[in-house]
Amino acid sequence: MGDTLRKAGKRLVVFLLLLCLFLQPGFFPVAAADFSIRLTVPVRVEFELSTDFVDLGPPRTQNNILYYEQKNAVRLSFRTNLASGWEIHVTGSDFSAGDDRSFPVSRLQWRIQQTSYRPMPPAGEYAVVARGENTGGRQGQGQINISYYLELQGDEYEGPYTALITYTFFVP
Amino acid sequence: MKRSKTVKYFLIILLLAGPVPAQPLLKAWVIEDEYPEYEAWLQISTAVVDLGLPQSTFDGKGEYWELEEALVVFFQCRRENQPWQVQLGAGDFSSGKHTIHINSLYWKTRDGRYNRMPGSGRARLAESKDYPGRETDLHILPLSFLVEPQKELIKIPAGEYEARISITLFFP
Repeated sequence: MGDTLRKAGKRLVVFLLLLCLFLQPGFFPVAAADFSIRLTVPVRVEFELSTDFVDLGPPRTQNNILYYEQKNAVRLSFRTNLASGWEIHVTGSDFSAGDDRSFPVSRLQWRIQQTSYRPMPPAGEYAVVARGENTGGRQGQGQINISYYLELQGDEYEGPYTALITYTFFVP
Repeated sequence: MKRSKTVKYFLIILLLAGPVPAQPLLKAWVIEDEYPEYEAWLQISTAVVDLGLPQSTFDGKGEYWELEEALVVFFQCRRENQPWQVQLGAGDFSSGKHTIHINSLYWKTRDGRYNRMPGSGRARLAESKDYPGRETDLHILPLSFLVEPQKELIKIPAGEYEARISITLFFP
């Protein structure tokens, strides 16, 4: 019985000695002196309009329709380093002559380059002008020419009307 | 007799186990590499160098990342007449599939000038012949890092970039 206990004790000591040797820092040298160097490239967006004022000029007539048109009235220029999606939205306030005279901005139509004219969204709503859907490494960069067309419906009072059109570059 | 043996084993275990609890404290702030066959060792002060966000150049036209004395390298080769060389080895910065080439990285030691990382990603940091008569001393090299992008920041996809750098003591 005593011998068995002594043997078990010796085995325990040997085990502990081996364990200690195994855990020694010099026994298993720590691997290479590696480190990480990190940096952050922030999101950058450049977005500008070629003008902050568009005069639709004098009215024109065609087939008894009175209208205003200004082709390539505004150029939107944008650059971004976002590789994910982005959108350009347009929104506008109703045309107003400064008093009670006004008419809805949705009567104004717009188009990109040579596409078809489409009505502006009602005041308070927006339409998507351009979209970059997960460009997969290609950063967004480009220029968009916008033309405007306004057809009078005959219920507008005379006077100089102004509407504020806002383009917004949205990132996720 | 039995007691003296037990005490002896206990002392041996204590002696061997002694450094074990101290090891995590040491590892918490240094990364160590040992070269027992050359009586040499090397440590660095941190596992991560975070350069953070870019800063603007004086003229405001460019941007760069810099962190002065971001990391300290400690090393020593105690063997007499043993030439040695400390090298920096690095891969490109990467963020997902986007990369910034490693030759945008510059490094310098205290009071030194910035050295550009070669395209190979390997550079000589120090050499025994730079320290005549002091080859076996303990050497302490505080390192500063600078990253100068080779193109406008808006052309680099936004994100967190990381490069793995290793510092190695060579014995030619």
